Amino acid sequence: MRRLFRSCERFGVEYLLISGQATVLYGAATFSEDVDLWLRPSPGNARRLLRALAACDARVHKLTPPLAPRFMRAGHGFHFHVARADDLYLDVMASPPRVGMFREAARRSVVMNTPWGRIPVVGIEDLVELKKTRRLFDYEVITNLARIRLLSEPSPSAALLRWAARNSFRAEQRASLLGELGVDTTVDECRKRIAVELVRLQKRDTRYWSRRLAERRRLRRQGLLIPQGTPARDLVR
Amino acid sequence: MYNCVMAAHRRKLRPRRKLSFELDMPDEPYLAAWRALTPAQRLIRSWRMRRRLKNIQAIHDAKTFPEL
Repeated sequence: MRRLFRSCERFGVEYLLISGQATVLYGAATFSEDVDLWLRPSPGNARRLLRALAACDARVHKLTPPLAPRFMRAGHGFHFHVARADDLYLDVMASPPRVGMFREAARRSVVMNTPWGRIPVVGIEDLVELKKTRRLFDYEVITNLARIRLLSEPSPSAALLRWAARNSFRAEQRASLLGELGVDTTVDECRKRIAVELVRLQKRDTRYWSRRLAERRRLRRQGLLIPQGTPARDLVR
Repeated sequence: MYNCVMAAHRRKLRPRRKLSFELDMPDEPYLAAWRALTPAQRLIRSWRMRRRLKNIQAIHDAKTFPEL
C-alpha cells in the first residue's frame, strides 16, 4: 500500500482519499475493504495516475472506460486491481457526485500521517456528502462523522449544530442537537423525518449509478471498455 | 483528543455554547475508544481486519457493481 501512495507522490498525482478509508482515518468507521480516490480531472493528471499505477503493476478491473475527459466528466468510476498491494481494489473517480469541484475540496482537505505516507484526505463535510449513498449503513457512518466534527469544536456554533443535526441519521442525536438550537421536537418526529430523508437520498444515489452503470454496459457491448486484466502500463502513452 | 479538523476552519467569534448533552451513545463504547486512536493506528487495525476476509473481490464487486 505504501508503494502505491509513494508511487502517486513520485509521479505527482493530484488526488484526495475519499469514502471508506477516509471514514476510518477520521474514526467514523472501523473497516473498509477497498481504496477510493478522487482524482483531479485533467488529462495530464490522469496520465500521471496511469504511470503511478503502472509502476505498481496494477491492472484494470471490471467495467472500466478509458480515463478520457468525456468519461471523467460524466462521473464514471475507474476500477483497478493492485495484486501486489495487499490484493487491493482501487476505485477512482474524477467527478464524484454531490461534492462540487476538486479545487475547492482540495482546499478543505486534511493531510494525515498514515502507515502509507502523508495522504491528502477529503474534508469531513465533503465526505459526509459523498457517503449519502443507497447503502443504509453509510448513514450510521455519516452520523458518526457529524459527531466527530462536533467533538472537534470546544464550543460549536449554531451553524455547525444545524449542519450536524441535518447530518445526524440517528433520531436521538438529531433530537438532542435540535434541542440545543431551541427547536421543539421529539425523538419520534425526528425518526419519521429521517425515514423520509433516507428514502429520498437512497433513490437519488440509485438513479445516479443506474445511469452510469447502464452506460458502461452499453460501452461494453460496443467494445469500448478497457478489457479486464489490461495492465496499466499498456495504457500509458 | 486527536483533532482532525484544519485549524483554518476555526474562527474567533463571540463566546459559543458548550453542548448540554453527551454526544457519545451509551451503546457504542467502542467508538469513543476507536476515536482515541490516531488515524495511523486506526488504519493499521482496520487493514489487519481486512486481511481476514476470504474473498475481497466478491465483497468489493457486490458493493461497486450492484444490480440496480
